[in-house]
Amino acid sequence: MLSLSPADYSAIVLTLKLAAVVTFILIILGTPIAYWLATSRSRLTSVVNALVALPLVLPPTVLGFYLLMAMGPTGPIGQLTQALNLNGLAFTFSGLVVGSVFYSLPFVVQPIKNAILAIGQRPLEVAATLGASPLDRFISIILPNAKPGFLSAAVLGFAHTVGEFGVILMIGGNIPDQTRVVSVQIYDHVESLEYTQAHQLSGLMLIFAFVVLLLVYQFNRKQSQVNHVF
Amino acid sequence: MLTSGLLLCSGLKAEQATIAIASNFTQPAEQLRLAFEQHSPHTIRFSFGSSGKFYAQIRHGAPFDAFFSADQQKPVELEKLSLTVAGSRFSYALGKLYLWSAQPGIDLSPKNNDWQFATKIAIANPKLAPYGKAAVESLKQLNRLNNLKDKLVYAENIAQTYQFVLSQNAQIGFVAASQVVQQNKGSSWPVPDDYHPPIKQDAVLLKRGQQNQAAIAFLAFCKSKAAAKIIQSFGYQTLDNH
Amino acid sequence: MSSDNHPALPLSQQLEISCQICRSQFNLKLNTHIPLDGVCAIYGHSGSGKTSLLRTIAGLEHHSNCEIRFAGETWQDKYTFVPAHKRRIGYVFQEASLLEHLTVKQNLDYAIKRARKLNQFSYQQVTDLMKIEPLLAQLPSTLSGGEKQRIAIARALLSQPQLLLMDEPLASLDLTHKNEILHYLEKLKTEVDIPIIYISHSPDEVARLADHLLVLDKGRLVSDKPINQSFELLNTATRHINEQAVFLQAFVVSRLDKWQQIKVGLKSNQAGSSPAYLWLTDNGLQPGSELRLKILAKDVSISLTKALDSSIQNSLLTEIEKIEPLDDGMQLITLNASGHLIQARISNKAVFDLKLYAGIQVYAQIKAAALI
Repeated sequence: MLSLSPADYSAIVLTLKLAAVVTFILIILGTPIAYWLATSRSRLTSVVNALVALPLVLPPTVLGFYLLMAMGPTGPIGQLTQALNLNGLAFTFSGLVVGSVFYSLPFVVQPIKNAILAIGQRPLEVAATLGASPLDRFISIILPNAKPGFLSAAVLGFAHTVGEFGVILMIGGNIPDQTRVVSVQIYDHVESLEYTQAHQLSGLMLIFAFVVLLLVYQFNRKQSQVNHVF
Repeated sequence: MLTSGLLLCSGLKAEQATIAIASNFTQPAEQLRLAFEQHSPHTIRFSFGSSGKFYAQIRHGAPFDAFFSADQQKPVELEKLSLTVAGSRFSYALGKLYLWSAQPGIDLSPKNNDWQFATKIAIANPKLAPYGKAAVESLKQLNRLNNLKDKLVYAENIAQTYQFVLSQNAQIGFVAASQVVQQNKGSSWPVPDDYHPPIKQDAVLLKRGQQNQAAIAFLAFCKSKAAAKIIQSFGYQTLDNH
Repeated sequence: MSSDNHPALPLSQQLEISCQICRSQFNLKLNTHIPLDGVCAIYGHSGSGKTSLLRTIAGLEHHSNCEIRFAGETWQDKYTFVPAHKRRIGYVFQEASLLEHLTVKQNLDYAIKRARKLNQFSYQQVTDLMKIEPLLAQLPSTLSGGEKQRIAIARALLSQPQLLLMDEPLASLDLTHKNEILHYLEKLKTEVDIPIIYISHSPDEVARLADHLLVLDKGRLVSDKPINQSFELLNTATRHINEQAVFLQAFVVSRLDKWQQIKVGLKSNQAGSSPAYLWLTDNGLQPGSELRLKILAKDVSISLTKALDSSIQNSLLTEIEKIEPLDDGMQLITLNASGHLIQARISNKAVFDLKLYAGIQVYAQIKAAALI
């Protein structure tokens, strides 16, 4: 039934690879941010909260545009990569990873933060009075209790990266096997009037997105007594 | 006064047309409109966007009276679908290709420069944009396509190509003359016109606009000498149908 | 109020607190030394700042204007803040606070794994004391409030603390469970040697458990004394909850096994007071043992003559010290029984009919005296 071209398949594989790498990094990076946001009383939390949430309201092209500028040799990211003797990030898989991490950050930080907030201060205080250090409290109290939040975060981070388009369009350069992900491939099909192929890939995306959201909501319904992620 | 005088004398009714314009033609189009409306009772409304999206929208009944595409292919396709007024299609502008770098003071001519200093070379996606196709043809013509192929990065349109080079994520790129002329910075080399098939940008009167006097008049105006002057001032070339 | 009331204690047996906590509800200002011996109760109404004080001692709250030294070791001053997990404390919260994702056994293990390197309390001793052996396999959600609190106390002990902090551990329990836990707390007090700071707004609990009493009122320390000098304060405290009562320190004089009664003598701090005696139901205490009594004002009636034909056995000759109107058509009469103050709650009409006034002698008939 499906008649996908090798380029389509390569775009699918690349997209899944990107989403997996990005999700992994986001969980590692998003967890301490979420923990800090959920527990700190610092005034800086509102600033960080706003920064993390920016991709939710900004058009992806704005984010992509600034990333493109930042990755150039005169931009801050470009300066950094030059100082580290690395190649430029624009038009590379690593560049997409960096962009996607920014772009999907709120989708990972939010559910983890909410799950940690739902645990409340009390169990953490109990653990502290029993001699548990902050790291110990994180591992022994937060991780087991916030499991549903982490799962939601991973699924949403993955799905959102798969569905990402604007940022990748801006910094990707449309290179097969490196930066040409499914959404860009669909765009190309549409723009070059290849509507059949566009349909097939779009249909796959639609089904994927629906199934993912269905799983998240069903899982959350089961967990709803424990905590609320949305 | 002049407008109302014309209106009375010719017995014309003032009409309004909605015209879809490829984004890269935004500025010349605005100038054309200003010039046109000075001598016409009609008013023109523009909608700017990507030619591919306009094509899809027009196929599905979008309310446009005329369409200025960034290429020739899409108006031709619409013609085949009988969504246009037969014989109305014409090339309103010819794109001119430039090799460009944001760094000033570089001699980019192929005689003196093999372009190997660039780690990335930006071109518009040849599948989507006539400028991209022209860039690939030009590289072929110079026998450099195979050498430089791995350095190519593809932008979705000519505006993005310019961005890639401007941000210096790509050191050089094949951009439109209109961009180089308007921005006037960095270093450039004009690609000779015979290196690639002409980059034709076609306009067409759509079925919906076949009775719209405003649209008809604006298309006619765009073929005039006055219009050609405006279009050329933005770095485009024009055919002698003007 | 300064801590001159117990100046003799060495530093190693004191918790020094000097604290200023500003909140919207109260402005706590405190400077005292709490003896690290037995139970020190901090009594006050809600909003008096007592929970904030306890949390500050625990390191759960960090207020910059506080200095805390435990047995000479600085827990907090301008430059130091020892985090909660490094202070050697056990903390029992007001509401049950078991880790819900762990079983009872795992909750205890959580404490054991992180215990300070002292083995004051063995697992066996603690589980026996709190009688939690049968509950070990259960999840917290299946337990009653009383059971949860017992486990919370056991868990706190198993972390081998040097100081046990309890924030109204009975407040969220119903009466039955309250009594159950009180019983365990008394056992804890007699069988386990650990200083306890106990927060409460119940005069009963305080009178029953405390060895030393701090009273906070709107963030101010209004009393800081050993419990035997604090009963009068508790007596006034009972008036606020409309259950006027007096607390008395007593000792067993003799036993009357035939009638299952004991004779107790009231202790007095007043010089020149002659002893007063009461008969109580035998509770197994031997002569010489000390005990605390609570006599509710509503259980005391007044008669002008010694009633020889009454079923009420305990009748003391007293002098009326003062008569104060209560707001419900009743009067509170303070009686002095040779140096011991007792209160009686009498209707306006009875006061009028009997022509009671301060200075006359009457017999106080005590219907019941509760051992606490």
